[in-house]
Amino acid sequence: MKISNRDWIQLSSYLDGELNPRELNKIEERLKQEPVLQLALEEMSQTKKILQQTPKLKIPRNFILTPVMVGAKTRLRPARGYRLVSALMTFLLIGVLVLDFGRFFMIGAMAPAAPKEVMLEAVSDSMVEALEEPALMEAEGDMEADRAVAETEAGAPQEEEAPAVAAEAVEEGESVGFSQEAESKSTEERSTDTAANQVDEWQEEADVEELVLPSQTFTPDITSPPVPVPPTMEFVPDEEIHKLERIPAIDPFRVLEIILGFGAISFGIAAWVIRRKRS
Amino acid sequence: MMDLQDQIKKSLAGDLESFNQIILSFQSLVYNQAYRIIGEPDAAADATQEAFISAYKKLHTYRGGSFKSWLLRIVSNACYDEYRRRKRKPVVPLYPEGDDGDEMESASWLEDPSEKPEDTLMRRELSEAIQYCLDRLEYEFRTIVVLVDIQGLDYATAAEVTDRPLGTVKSRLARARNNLKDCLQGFKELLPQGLRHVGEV
Repeated sequence: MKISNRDWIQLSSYLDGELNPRELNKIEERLKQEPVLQLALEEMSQTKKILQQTPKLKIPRNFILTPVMVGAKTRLRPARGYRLVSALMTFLLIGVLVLDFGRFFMIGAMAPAAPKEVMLEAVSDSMVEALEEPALMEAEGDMEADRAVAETEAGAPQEEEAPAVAAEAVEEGESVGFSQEAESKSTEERSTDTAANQVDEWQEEADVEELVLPSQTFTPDITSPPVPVPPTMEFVPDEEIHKLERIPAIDPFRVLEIILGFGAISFGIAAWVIRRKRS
Repeated sequence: MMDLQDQIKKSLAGDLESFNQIILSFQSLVYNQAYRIIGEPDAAADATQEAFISAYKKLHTYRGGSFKSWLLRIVSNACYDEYRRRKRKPVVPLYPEGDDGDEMESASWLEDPSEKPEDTLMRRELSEAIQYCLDRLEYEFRTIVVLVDIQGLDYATAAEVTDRPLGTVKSRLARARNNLKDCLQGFKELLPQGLRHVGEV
């Protein structure tokens, strides 16, 4: 007769006195009638006795604690420290990136200042090129007409200021002609070629149309009515132009972002490696 | 001499010396429990040390009742951690070498100098036979049989220590005993007189 698992559980519990009265009566009845069950109980009892006689081992050493042992466990482990530093650097990196983007948008809002310089230079360069390249003269016509209007309207009083402006014009190169002297020189030079003739025609047209010259913002005529000045032709002081040019080549924000990014990744990897080694 | 409750109170106040007194009282029980569950002396020592450190830190979670049960629960957890760690990364146990250069399978600390050599040998062999059979049981079965049959806990306490229902403890203990009976049959000659007919049914 085979003993079932349930019987083994009943016998085991009977051996330890863990059966309730009803179960106890039932198993005792069966033990009286079933010798196999009796032998099984005997075996289990023997096994239990053997286990109870298991020799006690002598401890290899004392396990008393020292303050260092207790303290050492509470100290920050290297892996945890590295993970913390990595997380900290990541947060800093996010902060720097936000600041960087904020700065980018602020510069974006101030953007009209930068094109002023670019356009001024672009116009002056193109004018010089136009003198050499007749095809471009058509595009520069308005500028020349402006100059002609300025000459006519300024008249004698402007002649007194002319040398100073002329000096500036020389400094600036052959860009925009601010004086009559400079203008007359250039007109004489150009009078021989076809481009110059075209300029004269435009000057005549400009007299009628009352166009505005950029130099008017520089030497305003209070007697004449206020004329709207195109924003692209506004005068930009020299210092401001140079200030814009003086933007450093390496942005400190970039350097900071690279350092923080590299640090966050390095410490993260170090923490991961230490953790893997420990496990 | 202070009683256990006073030592616990003082330990809770940060008196490490008082806790060390508790350790001295329980270290044999804890080490034996750890050794029978893990089956390796070094691992058992590590688990014992970890258990005491953990017990010191978690002493505030002790809410009265049987301190032995509370401590054995911590030991069981420490053993399980150690067992899993060793299972992931098996280590080769190092035995000390004898005069002839051969490895001695049992360390000298297993021997009691007051015992006769033949008794020491018998004790050691019986201990090894039991450990051999325990090692062949599944971890949870082994833990329960060690708690009930070797440490002498009742079912309710064993259920509390292992965090298992009473029914589970009963069935696992019965199966563990049944398996051990079959295993120990192979070591009859090592068993004490009167217990040699085990497994003859």
